[in-house]
Amino acid sequence: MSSRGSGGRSNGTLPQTKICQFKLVLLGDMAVGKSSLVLRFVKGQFDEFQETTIGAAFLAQSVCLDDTTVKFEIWDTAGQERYHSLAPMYYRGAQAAIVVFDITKPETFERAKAWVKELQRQASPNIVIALAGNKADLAEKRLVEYEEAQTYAEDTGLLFMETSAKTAMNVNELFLAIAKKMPKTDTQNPTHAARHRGVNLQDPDAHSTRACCGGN
Amino acid sequence: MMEVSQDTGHTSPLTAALPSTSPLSHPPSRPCRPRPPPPPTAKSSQLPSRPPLPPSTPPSLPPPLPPVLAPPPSSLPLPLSPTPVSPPLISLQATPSSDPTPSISPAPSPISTVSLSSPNSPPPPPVIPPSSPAPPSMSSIDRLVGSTSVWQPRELSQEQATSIIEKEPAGAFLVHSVEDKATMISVRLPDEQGAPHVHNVTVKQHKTFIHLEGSSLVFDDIVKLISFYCASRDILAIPLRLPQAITTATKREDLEVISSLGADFWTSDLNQQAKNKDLVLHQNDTIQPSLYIYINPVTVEDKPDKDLNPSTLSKHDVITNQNITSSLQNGEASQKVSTQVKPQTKSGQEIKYKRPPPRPPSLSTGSGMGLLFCPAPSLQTSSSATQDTEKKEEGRGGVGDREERKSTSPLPCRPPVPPQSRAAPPLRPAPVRRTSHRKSNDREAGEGTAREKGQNPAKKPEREEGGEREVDKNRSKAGQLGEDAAEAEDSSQQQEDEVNKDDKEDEKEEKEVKAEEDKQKPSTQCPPPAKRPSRPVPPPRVNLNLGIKMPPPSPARRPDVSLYSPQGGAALGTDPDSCSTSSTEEEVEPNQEQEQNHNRLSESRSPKAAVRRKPTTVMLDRARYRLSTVITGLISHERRLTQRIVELARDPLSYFGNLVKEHRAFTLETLPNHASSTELLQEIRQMMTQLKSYLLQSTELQAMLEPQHQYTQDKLESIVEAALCKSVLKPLREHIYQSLEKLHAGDNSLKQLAQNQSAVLGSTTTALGVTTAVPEASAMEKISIKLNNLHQEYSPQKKIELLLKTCKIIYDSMSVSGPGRAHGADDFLPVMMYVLARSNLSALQLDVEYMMELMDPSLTLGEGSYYLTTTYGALEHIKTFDQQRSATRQLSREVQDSIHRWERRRTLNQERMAQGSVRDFLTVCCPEIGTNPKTLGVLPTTTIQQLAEQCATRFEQESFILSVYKDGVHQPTAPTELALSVKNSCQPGAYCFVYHPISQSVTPAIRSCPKDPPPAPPEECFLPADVTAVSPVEPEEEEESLISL
Repeated sequence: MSSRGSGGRSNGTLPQTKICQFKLVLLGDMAVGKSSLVLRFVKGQFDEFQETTIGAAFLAQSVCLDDTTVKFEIWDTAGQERYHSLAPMYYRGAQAAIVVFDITKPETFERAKAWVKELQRQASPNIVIALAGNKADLAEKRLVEYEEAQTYAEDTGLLFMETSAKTAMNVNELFLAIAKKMPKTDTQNPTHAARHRGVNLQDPDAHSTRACCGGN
Repeated sequence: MMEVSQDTGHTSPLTAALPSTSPLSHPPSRPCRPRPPPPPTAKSSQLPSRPPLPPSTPPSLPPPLPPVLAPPPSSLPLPLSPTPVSPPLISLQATPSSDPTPSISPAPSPISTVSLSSPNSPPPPPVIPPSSPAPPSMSSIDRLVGSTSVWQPRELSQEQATSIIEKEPAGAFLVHSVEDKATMISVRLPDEQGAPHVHNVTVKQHKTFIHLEGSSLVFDDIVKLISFYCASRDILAIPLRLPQAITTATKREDLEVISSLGADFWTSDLNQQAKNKDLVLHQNDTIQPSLYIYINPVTVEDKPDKDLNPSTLSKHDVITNQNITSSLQNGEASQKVSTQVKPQTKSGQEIKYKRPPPRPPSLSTGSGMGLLFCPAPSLQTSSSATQDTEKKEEGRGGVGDREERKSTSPLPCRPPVPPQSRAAPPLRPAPVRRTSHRKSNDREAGEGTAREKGQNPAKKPEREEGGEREVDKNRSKAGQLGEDAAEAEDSSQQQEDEVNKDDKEDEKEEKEVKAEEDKQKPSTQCPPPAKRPSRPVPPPRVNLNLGIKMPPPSPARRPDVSLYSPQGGAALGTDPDSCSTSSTEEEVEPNQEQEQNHNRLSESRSPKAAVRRKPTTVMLDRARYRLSTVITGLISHERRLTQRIVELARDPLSYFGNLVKEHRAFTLETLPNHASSTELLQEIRQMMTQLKSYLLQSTELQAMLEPQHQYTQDKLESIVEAALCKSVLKPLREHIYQSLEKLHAGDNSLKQLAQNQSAVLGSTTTALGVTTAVPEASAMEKISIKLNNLHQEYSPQKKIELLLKTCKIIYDSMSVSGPGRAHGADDFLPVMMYVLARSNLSALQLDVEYMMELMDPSLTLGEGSYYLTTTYGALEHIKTFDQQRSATRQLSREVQDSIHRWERRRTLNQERMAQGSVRDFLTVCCPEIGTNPKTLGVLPTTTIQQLAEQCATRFEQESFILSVYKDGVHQPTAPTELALSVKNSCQPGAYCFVYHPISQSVTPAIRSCPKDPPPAPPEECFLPADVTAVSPVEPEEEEESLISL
């Protein structure tokens, strides 16, 4: 545990790069490929930027965005209906969410919509929500049309991409798009902004302004 | 689909490239991790997972030349010279590099290399002609270690390994283990039958050794095993070969590049190119075992060679010595090598250090290498603060990993033992480390006996106190070299017996007996070199104050590895299978008084000191003693500092000590008054935060810092936090739990939990949503031990570590059903539920709260936070479990929000901390300095007037006034002044608020700190040397109250 702390702290030696840390929660029905999607993202990166975790329910990965390093702490949730009630614990305070559905299973799309609704109602007001139509490699079995999801996403103000954890299609793009959409204020002053959001538990900057922001 | 994508998630090495957009393919630069080549800025078309090519591609290789020479180990005379001349390092180097690049080793020594991947050329051992004029800049061990991520990639399934290896030349190998499961080595066999053939052989664990299934050669760790099998095939059809690109890498940078690829290396151009060359160069040659390197594996069944007579030292001993010596210089891989001398070393069971992380993060710095292989607890120094953090980061989430490492392999860093102790030249690291092992184990062993038999009471507190073992480490480093020899001897003798034992328990018993014997031995044989008084009666507290200012070199301070450092965690009582955790065994609160004395006297002690030391060892011991003193000074300052803070907190004569005491008393008083557990815990956390805040700003802390060791603020904070946990939380833990239990008994939640637990227990795994294997009995047993340890632990940090370990075990059991598959929350949560239903829920419920609220807010939790949330959620789920629907009713809004609010609280706490402190504390004495000190909470807006009102209430004295004693006089305070600005205008620790009668002329104070009124028994009361003392302080009852906490 403590390693975690100092891991974050070690950012202090990093010159000139802003580091923003975000909690990203994964929602979606069971077996839509939530963890595969994230694993694809995480494992596809350079190893050294990926932190070892004990399991795939929690993963961490950083991406570089211009002069900013955006670090995602990815919180997976259990998709089973019976654990639905636990989800708020995970998404409350998250700055980003990816709601995943399976393009071959319309019911997962419906469930995704329900998640989006719930997020918009109960999560942080400025949470960045991305909708991912996963398993795009199974296009021949597609039952949720791209346009349908696209339209829905536009109407509700979501990022939308069809992804394939299997082929890696749009996986990095999705995370990158989210990273870009994260509030600029956080980028400018992660400490301050993150604090106000009340979620910067993991924000290394929160306790080391001097380290990360001092140079800027 | 799930499955498919899961797989693909893992197969990046095979499936080559992920298309990635350019920004993503930039690796963010990561702190503390030097990476040689700057990441290419835009390479969208590149493989995302491939780092830039090395600046210089491995030169095309000349046919492997005979390895650089070193006298063959076997023929080495026994050099007693301390100079590390040509230590026969095992080297797996294929082609001696003629490109002398700065190696991490400050003094690269000639190394006997073994050609790994160029088996055709090496001359038969042991005659190894020097063929390359330029000594290789990297030893083969370096290469092996440096490329761990390549040959032992994380989370590689057997299928993946096979498919990688198939494409490689014969001898290529991959070590893979899925989620702690049995480690396998996949070896590419020669194409004899045409089709590529991959042989999988299991790495078995025998006690703390590992060995290949079917072989009786055992090794300390996988690196050693591999290095051996690179040179000799033993039961394998073919010796192992590192990829050509690795064996020919001449620069550390190259190796780093390769290493950074991890499993992707195999599919990278680097490998392909090298492979082609390799094939051309070494066709058909791969089967010959290359030169036999020195190795001295123990056969599992055989008794170890225990020739202890220096005159008949075996060549192995020599090698050991040399290796160690070289490791002195290099501070790196050679240490690993040294442990190859298995038989002479103590039975592996004693070693608690973790083996080197499988994937060295970076090889770029010499010290980095050293760190990798050093048992962190003893070699970690604060001067390498960044390294520390890096290491921690690396260890991040690696709690489980650590455990895994431990279980599969016994530490590399263990220095070779007995023979060397007598014949070797001064060996700095070795004695240090070895003694620590030894000591700590003896300690453990002794602990039991001492406790059981209730004998040796003087020693007892020390043994039982947490971190006390560390003292021993230090002490022994400093002063007990003689003991080393004796112990070494003991151990080797013991070893014989021990090796034959079947399990650790037996060994432990053995050792207990041994320890017992040791204890009973008179320490007469050989007076220990300096600083080793015979076991003392705890002296009067003379040192109480002085101790604080003790000079850094005091080698005897006990370091406290146990807190904070993940490595420490690993080193201390973390045997995964052992029921004993540091907390339970070490932390029994002993008589503090005695303990303090012990600490202070740390140099003195132990009847064991001079046990059975032989004259022949004296010289050596002295030399080693000198060296180890130096080393001790370097390595233990951090622990020393922690310990000093702990002592300061206990020191009733210090301001801080008083503050702590006051806080504790206040907390105890108010514990029953809290309406909710959160409030209760928050109050305590706040207290700790305040204390921390005070201490960090105080001169008391400054005075303790050793100028030669600079800490970063963060480091310092974490040291202070650890010390506070120990001095504040530890004594309070029991009380906190009692209060929590009461509170929960009140709100019925524990009862509810218990009721529903049986319901969940009755649910089928299907009903729980379990889709994977669930932990079997043995795993459940381990989990229950972990959780029990977690419950006993007082430090929130360590509790969380244990929680993560528990989760890791769960993951491991899950993967039984589908090795290589990564499990997300869909899979994990149901199994977590399954496990929790079989655990002590009420204890866990309290633990979760304890962790959540008391955790250092400045710690970034990350993974810990996630699993805490999950545990919390699972508990809530069980509480509200609805049997009919076998689902949970909607959780209350409060519960839903709890994590969020918890995070907020932490953030707020953190913010406060950052701002100094929102609520500060002042200690006010009444009616004169040193009398009846009370700690009052003040806000930044609190005026002196308001403070006086508080004082009036607290001291029940209406008409007194408040003044500040500083600079030797009482200074009146203006009612409108802010209390905090008054406080801040004073030198921390050099003032005292006094609430006194208006007319009273106050007696000059001695110290800034509040003191308790007389009378104190003279022998109990010592004034700091630097003060012109007057008022006797610290009545005994105060001390007692402390103890009774």
